[in-house]
Amino acid sequence: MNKARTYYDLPLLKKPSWSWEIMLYFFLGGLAGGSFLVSTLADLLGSKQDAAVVRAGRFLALICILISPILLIKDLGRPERFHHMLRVLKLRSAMSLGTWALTIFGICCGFTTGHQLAKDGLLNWFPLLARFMKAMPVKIIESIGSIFGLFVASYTGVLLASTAVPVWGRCFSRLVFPPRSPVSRCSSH
Amino acid sequence: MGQMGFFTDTTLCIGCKACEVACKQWNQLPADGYTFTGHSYDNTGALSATTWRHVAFIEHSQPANGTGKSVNWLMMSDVCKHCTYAGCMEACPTGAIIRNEFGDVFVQPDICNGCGYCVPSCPFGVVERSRDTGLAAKCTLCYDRQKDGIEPACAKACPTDSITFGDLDELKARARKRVHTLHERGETAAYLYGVDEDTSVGDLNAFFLLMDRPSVYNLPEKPRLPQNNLVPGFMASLIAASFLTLTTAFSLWRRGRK
Repeated sequence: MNKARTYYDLPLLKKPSWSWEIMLYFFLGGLAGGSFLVSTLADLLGSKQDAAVVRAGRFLALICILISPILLIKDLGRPERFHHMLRVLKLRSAMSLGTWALTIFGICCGFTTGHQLAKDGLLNWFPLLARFMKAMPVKIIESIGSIFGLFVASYTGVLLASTAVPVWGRCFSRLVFPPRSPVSRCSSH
Repeated sequence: MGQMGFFTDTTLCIGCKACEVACKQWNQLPADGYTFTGHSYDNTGALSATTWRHVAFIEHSQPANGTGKSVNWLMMSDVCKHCTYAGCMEACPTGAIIRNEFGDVFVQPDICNGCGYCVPSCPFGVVERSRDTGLAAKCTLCYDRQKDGIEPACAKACPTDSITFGDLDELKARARKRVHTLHERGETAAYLYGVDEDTSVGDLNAFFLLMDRPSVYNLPEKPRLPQNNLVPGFMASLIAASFLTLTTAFSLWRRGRK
């Protein structure tokens, strides 16, 4: 009789401790990356009528990317130690790669939105800053930002896929996450 | 310094749970409450952030070889495996999880920020985030005791030497000999778990001699290193990202032509 093939049907793996913050971040990260990509491409390839898309994309990306770290830090067991993520870069850890990509993308978002603000005349109270923001090579910054934005939008799928949880590890989860960005794309249009 | 580890011989385990108690005492781990699981004598359930040794009790209602008593016991003291290729260590984005000079996979409590990524990255379901401290916690292989040249608390407390601690090469040699002896005595089910196996986690620094399939002890049959999914995952992302860029560019280009 080989009845006991499992150990009292208890789960072998531990339940992840992540809560709603992480789920919301997965969405916001995708939204930020997707909208930033659209605004960049509209700026690089689009015509004058696309200026509204460029502006909307930049603002939306910045808002999402400002909320994201708050959510991520809130979910930590020791939120005051969030900066420990920035003491190493580990190529085999999707979360480490994501942390750095999020940091770089956030900086790019900040500069491009600053450029947008200056262009819209909202920084006129700070003439020096406005001049600096206008003079920046924004096309280069947003191109670099788009690459990191796409990474931010899609690495979360890889992060889940590279765990021991069997369902997350199956190929479908790798495919489910990157296409969240089309949703972001529609919403920024 | 040679690699140190555990060899847990389940054929010698009598289920006294002295290892659980010794571990809790030495490492000053809080109690987990008074739960009654109804699963044989196992009221611990599983390894957790506050339980670093866990004795599993398996009751086989019929003897394995048709002789002997009507209940056949299997007991196993489970512990962190301190894998050669550790999923938790690779996942850790802060570098808090390291391999120390004794070859143990060790969570540095002053570095860990409780991100929780190691938890689903462990193919054995060992490491967990503590609710009290907010930090990931698991067996340290008594790093502090090893530094003073003494064996870990569980191995010290084990009255039958089911848990033995020592240099990995010596332990492996002894374990292989033990399997050979058991086979000679007719216990042909005996085999080593975590040594000489073809898995992506490599040899386990805490390995076991088992008498039944791994799943019976709640161990994975073939543990996989989760990070093996990284490259295919990022390839899929790259394809998706390129597709997105191209379709967006195309739609903008078409709009511009109108």
